[in-house]
Amino acid sequence: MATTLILDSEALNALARANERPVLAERARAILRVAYEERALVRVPAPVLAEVCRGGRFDAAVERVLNGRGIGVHALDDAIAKRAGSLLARAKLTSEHAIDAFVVATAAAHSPAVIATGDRTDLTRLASGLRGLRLFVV
Amino acid sequence: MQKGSVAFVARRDHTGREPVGASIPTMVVDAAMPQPAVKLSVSVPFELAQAVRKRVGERGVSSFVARALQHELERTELGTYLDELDAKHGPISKQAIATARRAWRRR
Repeated sequence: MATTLILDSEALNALARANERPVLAERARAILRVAYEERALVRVPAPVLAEVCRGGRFDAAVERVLNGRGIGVHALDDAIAKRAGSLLARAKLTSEHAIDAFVVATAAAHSPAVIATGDRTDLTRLASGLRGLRLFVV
Repeated sequence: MQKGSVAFVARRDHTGREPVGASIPTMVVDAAMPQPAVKLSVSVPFELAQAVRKRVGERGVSSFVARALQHELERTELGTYLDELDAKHGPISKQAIATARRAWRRR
């Protein structure tokens, strides 16, 4: 049974823009609710913030999701970065997919984990063969 | 980084013996707690203190307690957040919950 829920940029965006994206937001809320019931940790890999923070008004919405909501940001460190690099190489993907690789590498560090994502194709490729990781598409 | 400690103080049991956790001067300097630490005295059941000490050793008690507190705090915050979202956007459909639950439990 998973012990951590990892949110990618799509899942975080869905929560931050729940009014604009009600269908995605409901899926994100559902997996968040299950994580709560299962007493799991909820983490956002730090590189995800590079995808969702663009300055201005929307950043405040992201910060509201991450401030005192029980959702932690997992900092990028050298071990996760190296793991991400090897995942990219194995999946024959370029650095264009680096943030996806950081997400999967962070999830692997928390394994068993569920990744809430909007990108089933690339994450499936990157997570292929890694035990203890599952995807939930928002 | 400042050094500090978390005192882990157990209640005396019915025999009146010295609380098992009272003399644990664990220094909090490990990577899991990068923030400055403060000393915190708490009381816990005697048997719980014994079990924790047996599990993680004297030097591991502070980081163990800190992780437990962090987890419980996050759970409380997350529960409040989910309730706020329900109040603002309406309840999550049973179907969405069931789908998420299946995804979570899939092996």
